Amino acid sequence: MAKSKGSSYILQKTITLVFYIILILLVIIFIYQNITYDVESVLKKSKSQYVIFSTLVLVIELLPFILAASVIISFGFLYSIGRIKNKTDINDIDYVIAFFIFLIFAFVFSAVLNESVKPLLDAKVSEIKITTKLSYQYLKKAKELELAEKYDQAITYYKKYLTFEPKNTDVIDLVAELERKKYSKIPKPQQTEVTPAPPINAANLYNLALYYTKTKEYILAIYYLERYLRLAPNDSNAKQLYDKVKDLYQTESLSKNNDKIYIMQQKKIGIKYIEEKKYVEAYKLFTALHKKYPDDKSITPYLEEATNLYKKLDFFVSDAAEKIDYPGLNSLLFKLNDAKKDQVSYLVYIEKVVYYFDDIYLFDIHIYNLDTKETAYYKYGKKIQTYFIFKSTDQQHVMTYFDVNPAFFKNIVLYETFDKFPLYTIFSLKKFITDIGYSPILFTNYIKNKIISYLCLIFSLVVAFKLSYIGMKKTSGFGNIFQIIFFMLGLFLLSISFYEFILLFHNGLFTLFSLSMLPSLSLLLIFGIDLIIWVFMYFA
Amino acid sequence: MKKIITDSIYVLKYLLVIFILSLIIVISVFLSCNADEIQRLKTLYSNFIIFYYFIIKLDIILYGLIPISLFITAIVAFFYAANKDASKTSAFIAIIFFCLIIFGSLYITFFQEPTRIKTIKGLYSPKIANSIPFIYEKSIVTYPGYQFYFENGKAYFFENDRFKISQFTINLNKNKITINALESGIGKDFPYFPAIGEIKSLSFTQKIIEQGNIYFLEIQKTITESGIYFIIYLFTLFLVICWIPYIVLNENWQFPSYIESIIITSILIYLFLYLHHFSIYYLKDLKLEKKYILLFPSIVYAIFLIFEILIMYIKHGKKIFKSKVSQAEKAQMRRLKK
Repeated sequence: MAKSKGSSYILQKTITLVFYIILILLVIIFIYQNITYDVESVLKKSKSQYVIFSTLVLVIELLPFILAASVIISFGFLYSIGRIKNKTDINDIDYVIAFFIFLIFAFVFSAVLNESVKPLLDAKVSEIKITTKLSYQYLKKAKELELAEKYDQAITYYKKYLTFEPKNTDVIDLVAELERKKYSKIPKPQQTEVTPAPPINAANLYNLALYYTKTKEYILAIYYLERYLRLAPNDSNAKQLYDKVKDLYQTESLSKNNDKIYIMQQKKIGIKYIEEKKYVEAYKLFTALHKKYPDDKSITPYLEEATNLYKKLDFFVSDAAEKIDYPGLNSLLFKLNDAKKDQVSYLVYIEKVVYYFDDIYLFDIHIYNLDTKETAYYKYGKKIQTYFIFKSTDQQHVMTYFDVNPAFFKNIVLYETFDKFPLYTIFSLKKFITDIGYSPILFTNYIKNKIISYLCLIFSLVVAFKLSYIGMKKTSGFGNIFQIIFFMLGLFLLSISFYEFILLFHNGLFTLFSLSMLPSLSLLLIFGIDLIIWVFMYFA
Repeated sequence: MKKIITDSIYVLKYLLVIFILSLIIVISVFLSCNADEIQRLKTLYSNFIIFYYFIIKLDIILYGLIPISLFITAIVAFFYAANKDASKTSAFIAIIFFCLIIFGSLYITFFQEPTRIKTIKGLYSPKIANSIPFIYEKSIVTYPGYQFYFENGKAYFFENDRFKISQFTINLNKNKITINALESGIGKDFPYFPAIGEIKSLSFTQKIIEQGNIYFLEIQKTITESGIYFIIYLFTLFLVICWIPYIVLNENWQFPSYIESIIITSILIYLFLYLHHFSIYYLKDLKLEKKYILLFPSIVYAIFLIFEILIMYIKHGKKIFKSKVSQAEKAQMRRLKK
């Protein structure tokens, strides 16, 4: 009982110390990041976000040092304080138990932070950096044009820059001044229209049906009611409404003139296409109808519905062109396999990949067919469902099925390296790496880096414990300020150099062993050697 | 007298055993740090075994690894000796014997003739391997600004929005892959083997290590011309470092004393390297005598040694004084009681 009390006391103190050190480091790094913040690498509006996220990333990266330092400080101090105060109720075994529990805590704590929190933060930081890189390209270009006195073009580029940082008063003032210089009309700022996605829940469908019944768009009302009844077949109100709307539709269709009858028939055919999921045909039909009767406002909701559904299968060049200024990764080369045709693969070079919520837009795509040796170029591309659509104009529609995991595709855009992928992606990461044409060595390196980093974390903690244990045995309290300074300096050097040194050593050992044996065996052997050293260290 | 002899044998035993152990550890660390180079050499030469790497890197082992293990020996062995109450005289005798054994054998083996190291290095004649495996076959490799896909001896890439296919050559000696037709310059070089031992470092010591490497190369350059200077350098450094544990050892507070030793030793080594750099690059400019310049670091360290001996003497004197005072006090107390 006494033992568990003693060990829990030590553990409590050590963990408290860990959190205090983390807190102090957070403050120090936060201040440091604030001071060294570079306006050219991070946008002003993202400054606070960037500083917070990058501070957290740095603290997580410093965890091995923090944990090792806490072990040395807390164990050393506790023992010496105990001896000064003549408190002998904490035994050696308490320290050992406390250390092993702390080891588990440290391992779990750093694993959770490294594998779940850090990837998210990394993605966020890289997103901010990409945005800045891109926006500063516009700013640079705008300044060049301004110096060349091409004010018209300069204003366009400044406005493009303002889409990233709309509250930058300096640039807004500058644009106003340039416009004065130009003595011409102020061009309207580009407004991005984001069409809302059609509602798909049952209540919305019913509301839409009610709305279109009121606006006397009975075909659309019937369409939505049928969809609603498929979701809620027992709703008697909806059934009554459905019958009522059908009656109204029939009575109305009898009293219409030829044009109106034609429009109504076309609407019916269009809705039938939609029901049969022939969205392209439906879109084309309603576009033609709208062209023929531009004044008939009753066609608009049908056209909107068809357009929204069409976007599920295809995209518009104008939509893609709007997204070109959004953050993304530049210049990517992939080797992608054809998911439909066996053993057909392409080298795909994409000048830019943009993530817009859940949509993936591609720009300037070069495709080289490795079998037929043919090349193709498309200005725009989009990932839709399980395939990619490429086009340079709206009339073009090239559908390609690439065998690639979209979630991973997004991660590689944001992380820029496989090493930052969290550990839970391991089961499909190898397939993804080889699928997109990268060497499988990268996967081996990924696993090696992960395992070795955790192994080194444990190793450095064991060394820290051993050091504090030796210290505990011989310490009888601190003498003077110089000794405390030396102690702190020593801690600093030990905790910094040990982890990195051990990491370097382990990486090298892995390479040496893997010269003559399998990577998995090499890792096992390294683990075995570590285990022997730990045991030896414990008893030495 | 008998105690002095047994103590000196005891210290000498410690020194030799720890020297061998530390040399093994230092060499294995050295091997693991250079694992990528070993991997490359193994691919490049058909008759390569790790032992040959020691011959190839004999300079580094002599001027880098042996001194490092000597410093470790100095600290560790003297700590044990100091803890076991071995007297300074016996430790001094042991050091002389140890230095005679190590530096003597170093001199006889490597520095007796100026061409000895070259002769040893010539023992290994590498044979180029018949075929070199290409590790990037059928895969994409990313370099800053470029991405290549390699297949069937060709490199596929896009440059300035145009698709290109090019020949490439590998130079394993320089660890380079050369892509022949690039618009930004004919035959652009890219690194071939991944730098496996390299880690993304957060270390604040990185700059110190880099500077240390520069100093090391300088030392290597000047010392290879005359081996005797190397022996003198090592001897003075070793002697100075050996006595640190005796100075910092504090019976009341032993825990950080080895940390203190490590810190002081590192500072002294760094200072030594800086002195060497200073003597070569600054004093030489003043056109001072060459021998004096070359021996400058050793002279400074001889002065350090004198200081150390003085400190030890004062410490020892204080201890004797304290014990005599306490003896006198006790005697006085006894007299008073009577």
